[in-house]
Amino acid sequence: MLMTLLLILPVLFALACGFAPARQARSVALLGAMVTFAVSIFTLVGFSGSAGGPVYQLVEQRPWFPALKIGINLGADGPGLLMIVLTAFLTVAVVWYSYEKVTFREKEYYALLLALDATVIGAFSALDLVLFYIFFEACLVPAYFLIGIWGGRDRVRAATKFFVYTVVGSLVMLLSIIALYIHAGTFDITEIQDVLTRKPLPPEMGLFIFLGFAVAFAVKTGLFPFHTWLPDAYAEAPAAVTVLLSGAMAKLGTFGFYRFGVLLLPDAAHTAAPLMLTLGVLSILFGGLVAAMQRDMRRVLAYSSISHLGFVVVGLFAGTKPGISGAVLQMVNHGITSGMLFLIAGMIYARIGSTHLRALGGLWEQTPLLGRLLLIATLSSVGLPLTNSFVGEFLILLGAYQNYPFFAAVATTGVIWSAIYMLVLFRKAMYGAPVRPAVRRMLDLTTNEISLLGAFTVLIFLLGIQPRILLHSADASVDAAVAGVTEAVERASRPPTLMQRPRRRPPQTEPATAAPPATAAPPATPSPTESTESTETTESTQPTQPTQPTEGRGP
Amino acid sequence: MNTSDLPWLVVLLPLVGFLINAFLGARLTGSPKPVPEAPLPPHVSYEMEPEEEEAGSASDEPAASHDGHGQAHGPDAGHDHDHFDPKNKGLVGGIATVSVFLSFLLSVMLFLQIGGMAGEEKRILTGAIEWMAPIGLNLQLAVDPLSALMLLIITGVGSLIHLYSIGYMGHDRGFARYFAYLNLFIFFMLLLVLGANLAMLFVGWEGVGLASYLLIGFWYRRDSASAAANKAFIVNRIGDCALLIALFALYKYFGTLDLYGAKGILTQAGQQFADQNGYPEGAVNYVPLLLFLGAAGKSAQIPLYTWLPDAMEGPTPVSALIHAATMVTGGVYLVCRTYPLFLSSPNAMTVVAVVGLVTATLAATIACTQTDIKKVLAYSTVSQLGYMFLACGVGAFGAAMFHVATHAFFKALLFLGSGSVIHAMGGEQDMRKMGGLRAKLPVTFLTMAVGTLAIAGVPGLAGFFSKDEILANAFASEATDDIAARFPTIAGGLGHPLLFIVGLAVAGLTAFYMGRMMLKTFMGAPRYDAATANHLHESPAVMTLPLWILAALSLIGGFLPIEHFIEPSIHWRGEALHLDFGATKTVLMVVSGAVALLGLGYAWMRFGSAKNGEYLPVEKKTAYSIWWLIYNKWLVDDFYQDVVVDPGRRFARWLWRVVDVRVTDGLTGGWGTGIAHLASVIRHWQSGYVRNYALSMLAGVVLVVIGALLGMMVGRR
Repeated sequence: MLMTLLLILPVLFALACGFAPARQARSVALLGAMVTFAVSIFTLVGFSGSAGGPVYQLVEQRPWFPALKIGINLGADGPGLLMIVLTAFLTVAVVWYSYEKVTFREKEYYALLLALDATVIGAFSALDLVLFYIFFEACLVPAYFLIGIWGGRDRVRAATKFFVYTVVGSLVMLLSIIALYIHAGTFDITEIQDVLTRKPLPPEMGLFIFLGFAVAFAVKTGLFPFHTWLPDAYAEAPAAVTVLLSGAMAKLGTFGFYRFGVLLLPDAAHTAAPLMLTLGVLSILFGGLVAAMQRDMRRVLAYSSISHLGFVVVGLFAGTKPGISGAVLQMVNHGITSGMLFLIAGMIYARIGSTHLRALGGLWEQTPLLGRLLLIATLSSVGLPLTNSFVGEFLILLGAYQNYPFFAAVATTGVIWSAIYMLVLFRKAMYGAPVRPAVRRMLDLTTNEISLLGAFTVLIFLLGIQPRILLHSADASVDAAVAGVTEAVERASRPPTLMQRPRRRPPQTEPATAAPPATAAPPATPSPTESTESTETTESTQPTQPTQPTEGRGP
Repeated sequence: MNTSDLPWLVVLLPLVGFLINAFLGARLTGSPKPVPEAPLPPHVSYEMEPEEEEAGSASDEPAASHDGHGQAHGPDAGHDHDHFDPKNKGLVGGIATVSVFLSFLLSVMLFLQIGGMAGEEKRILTGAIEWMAPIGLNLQLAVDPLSALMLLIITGVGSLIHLYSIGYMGHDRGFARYFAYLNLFIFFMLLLVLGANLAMLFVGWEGVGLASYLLIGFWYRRDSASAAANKAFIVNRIGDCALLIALFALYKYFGTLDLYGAKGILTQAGQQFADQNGYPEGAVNYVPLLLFLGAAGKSAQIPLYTWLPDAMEGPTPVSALIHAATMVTGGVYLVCRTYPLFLSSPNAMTVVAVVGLVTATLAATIACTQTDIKKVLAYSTVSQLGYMFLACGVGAFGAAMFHVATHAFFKALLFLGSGSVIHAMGGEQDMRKMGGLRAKLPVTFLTMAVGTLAIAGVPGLAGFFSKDEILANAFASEATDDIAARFPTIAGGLGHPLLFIVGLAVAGLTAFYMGRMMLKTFMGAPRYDAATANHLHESPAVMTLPLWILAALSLIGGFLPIEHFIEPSIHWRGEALHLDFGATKTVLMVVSGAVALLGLGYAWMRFGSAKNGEYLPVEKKTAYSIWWLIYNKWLVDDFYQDVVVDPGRRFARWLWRVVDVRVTDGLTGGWGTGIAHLASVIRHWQSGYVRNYALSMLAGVVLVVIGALLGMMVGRR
């Protein structure tokens, strides 16, 4: 029930926003976000993810298309629940942030924010592949409009690029989903997990399926070289939306790597680990170096996001407990840290209409509170000990070093790049005398803003000193993942038996399950998103499209 | 509270001081709040003029290394310009000082407790708080003789410098901020030396880097200050990166980062466990080398020393505390802390010794040419740190820590003295504009003279004993039988007469440049202008008291039984580490004492009588290319700029402009237009004829079936 509630609440409040008077929309939205957050916290407190327990809990199963074994199955493991809590928290933060800053079309704005909240939470809690896919795509729609309507000067181009890029990426995932269905005969993730342990995929099949997922998630995460949409989208979106994009939505990618890569397909994840580690390390280096060259605060932060999520990917595919735990933790940490940084960038933008570094300078003196809070966020971003990011990065790198010393060592140089780009940013924005007229007129933070950033600050230090609060709830799931990968490593080290196994299987039910996919495809490929490129691979979708939810056309 | 939790209290007291001053300080001192100019109407925004991105980059980053030394260097006491009188100075400064002083008292208690412990295992471990469960890492503190000694230095010298700062920073707007930073530094420094595992050590390690960054950039309005702050942090980060990798490798082979405990890295059991686990030959060598690279960052050794001279942009007491007495010795502490790892690898030991010695020589030569009083002291610090690493490299860890202690006394004294001079001179740091200050600043002169004699190694003073210990060990050191048995590879001893000879030459240089500094500053004819002459005054008691105390310590510090005290730390598997040398020691002592006097005498000859404090006119100096080379710091900074920084920046720009924008984005942009094109074609298919839709549906079904069949075939194979 709790999971359904988490999904329904933001939708209800989004509708309420639509019907509320324009000036009240924000209050309704704030209430909705807070209630959702409270429920998510309640869920987390009641959740026991300690080692040895079941991986997926709070499972709710409702049939949807029983013939195809598609269900509205919701539930969460530790990491999934953490992501839900993070999303709910960030939504509260951005609604709070937007309170005084968004002044036109408020109803739509807040309704869309809550819709984004709902769809992202939906994707994190979906335990059915089709449902996951739908939410994974659906969250693009509110994001698209939020960027396109309330964004910066170049908003329309950025929004389109963002939309097209991510949609194309996820189409490949659809093939993988269908392939999994063909193999397992169900879309239910927990069931698929069971089937896969009884009846493993042939290695190359598994690898292809994994790669299909990987493309979608790499795009969503913004891994190099799939990141092109990211700097534009982050820089052009209004600050509140950027926070949700980088803090919550990008986590769909890393989380997807975790759930569908490491947890579901450990053999393939192990085989592809060198590839994924390479991408992760490249993202760290590339993001860091390019960030140092940027002259706009929001672009620095955008590229730094690429770099930081590179760490997460390195940890996920390290195949060790510290690595994966660290990666899960770092997903939350990144949401908090980059969220705070983007909010501060938004506050600066709201005051002087620019975040270009040459428009700034002297803020340390002019706006001391903003300066100090940015310092804290900066320290968290460079991974200074006692802040949250240090714990995450330390665990990730240490975990990766155990299996892949070379990759880990190169990834560790990330601490140098992050120091360079963040400190250069900080120096240019903060230090020096306030000389520019706009800066000299700048007001320091309001009480509202202080309390908002204060909450982030508390989290930064709390999670830096007591990460156990989060680490333990992910234990059961991470242990399962590590066990899976460890077994995969063992299987890979004795190839002969591996070759024999698939040969025995074919006479099983494969032909029977092969028939449904032809019809299974349609509901699975809603692409409720408008447009053209969906026709490429989803020719047969049109008939069933009307049955799909209204995300596409709604807003 | 359990007595074994006393170390937590030691650490947390300065943190409390920090929090009080960070939150209330500005209010207490009544710092003026920034007044924004008339606020804007809500919707007027300052759009930036379309920026020429490229043009900025060259001037954007004024390389810290390029701020020449010739010109009058922005006033150190930048605060003297806008005269601001903070309120409640006594309260704000008092809170900071008292919190550190209380820490000091507790440290003394701990010290005595440790000293009074019987047996081999002299250590106190506090309770552990869970931190990173997946690797079994806890928040925990440990005190043993080595860290107890560091505790005393940090809190003792620290409280003196806090006291001094009340006077020195008395007119600064950032009075409260300064003390908050200073307390924060003490907090992290204590964590560094008290960490019971290497991760806790790393917390302190990075934390002091942060405090150093904040204090170097304290006068944030000055561009050179913020540039130096960034440089310090980033260069340190290079070392930190190496240190991190070393920690990961240690975890891989030892299975823990704890120093003590069941399988601690420093324990015999831990070493055996690692050996059984297959601690590979390569790791035996590269782990200590990585640790040393980390140490080289923090302790300003080649190749990472360039940040320290720039760090003199910070207020002078900061230079005394962080960049002379405590933080920069963190690297030496790290090497001594992990010495079993170093002793296992003779190669690493050799590298440590040679790098230390080369750094000592290089920095000493540069110190001979500098004209900025603080820069002389900065290079002198780099040089002395090199000595300490020389000691580590020949296995004389006790001598290294001994020198850490005595150096803390006399270098803090010298920096505080130079601060007193700068304070009196109204911010002037150029020695060419000083001269003859002896009469005006008698206390400063007297105490600094003691410091100079101590650092020069004049027999009887602190520096003589510790430096002599290092030189003697460098000459020849033989491992005792126990050590030889434990570490067969170093059984032959580690010293070498060549190390001694070069070390001796550096001692001579040290005496020379310190003599030069003192003579140029205090003797000869005054070279300052009339305005400065009016301003000249001896510092108030709050500043001279620390000078007196430190001078006393510099006098007697050599007689403290420091080496003996920390022996149990530098000690492994039950036997003390003695690197013996024979009766030659007496001869070496005489020689090194003589060299110190010679150096001072030569300086006296050159500068004592020179009227303008200059030995050679500038034109003549520049004629010597070697002088020019040394004056320009052997061009190391320029080398880094040209070979590392600039190409790095070009590469990053290329990554952005070419790889990112043109290649990656270009390719996908191509995708985008391709899709758009496809879309326009497809649009024609949507003709509205049901027939066409049916056709496309059929095509789709066929495609999916084919796909499914293919999938089956792949699956079957």
